[in-house]
Amino acid sequence: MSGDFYHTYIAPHKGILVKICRAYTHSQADFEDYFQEVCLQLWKSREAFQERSAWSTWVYRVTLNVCLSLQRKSKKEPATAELLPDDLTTHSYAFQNEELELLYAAIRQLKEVDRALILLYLDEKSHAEIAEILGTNPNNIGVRLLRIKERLKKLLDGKIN
Amino acid sequence: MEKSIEDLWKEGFKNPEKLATPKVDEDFYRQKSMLITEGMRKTQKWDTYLALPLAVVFQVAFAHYYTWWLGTYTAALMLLLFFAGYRHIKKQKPLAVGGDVYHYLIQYRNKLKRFIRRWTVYMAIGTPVFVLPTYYFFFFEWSDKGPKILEKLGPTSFAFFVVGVAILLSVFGTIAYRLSVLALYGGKLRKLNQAIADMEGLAKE
Repeated sequence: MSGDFYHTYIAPHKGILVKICRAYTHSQADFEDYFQEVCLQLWKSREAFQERSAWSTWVYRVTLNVCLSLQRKSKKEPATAELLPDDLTTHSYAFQNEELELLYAAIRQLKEVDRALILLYLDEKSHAEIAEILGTNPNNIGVRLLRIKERLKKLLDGKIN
Repeated sequence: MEKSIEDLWKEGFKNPEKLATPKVDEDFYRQKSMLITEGMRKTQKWDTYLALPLAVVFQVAFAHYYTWWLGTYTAALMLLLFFAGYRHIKKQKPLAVGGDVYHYLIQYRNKLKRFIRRWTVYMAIGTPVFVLPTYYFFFFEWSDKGPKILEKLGPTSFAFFVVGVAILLSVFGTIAYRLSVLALYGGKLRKLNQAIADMEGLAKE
């Protein structure tokens, strides 16, 4: 992968990569591996990008696909109860924002696809955009998001002021 | 009042451009190649060094329970395997700094294939060479079953019988070795082939 490609095509979207990779990993080492693999796959798939959608949509799609596939490969899901709040200390790329870290820890407890949905929602993607990125039907996204938000609220109940 | 998750997110990412990102390795295949070959080297080393404790076990066990010459014989065969493997590991050169990764991997794979072919031959010859003297001991020195079989079959048929057993052992040794290669190196070989195929694909673009 060339440095030019990284600086031109990936660096402007590094926020997307960080946000998503963080939601699918439980340690700094995994985060770095996922980040590296996403960058590599973006580079390898650049020819497949046919400009039918925005590059940022492509970045979301590739990032989510890579994270989901790595997640399934590793099958290292920690037990639900282990994540809050010890999980906060596992990343040295932490956001220095405890509330955000708590939100991340809660998001990590969601199912893989629900994680993708809520991340896209929080990044202010419309239902249509979420459906396009995830390759699903936009009709039931609203209902599903409501359920996910309810679950997140329960997980964060009393932990956030 | 509790903050909404939307507010938490917005506040958390007020300055997304300032996010810390890991350093991306732009020479990915060099790193990957080093990891694959290093992993392979470690497995080979482990595989080779295993012959040393086995030699000791055979020597001690056979000498203690049966006869010293069988122990020495089997231990000597194990040591031969160890030195053959050790020589191969010592001959391996790491990827040179700035060297051509693709050609290094191709050479590495060719050498590995030659190594596996050579060891398949060793196993095909070595298994009967290893097992037949053990059979001889157990059938002719440890018990009197051997002479009885010899008497029953006659010298010619007995010779054919021994050759048949040697061939069977040879086939068994070959299959067992191939299966062990698959178990120990299969995953790493797939990664090696994948890395080479990726690099070939990228070179064509």
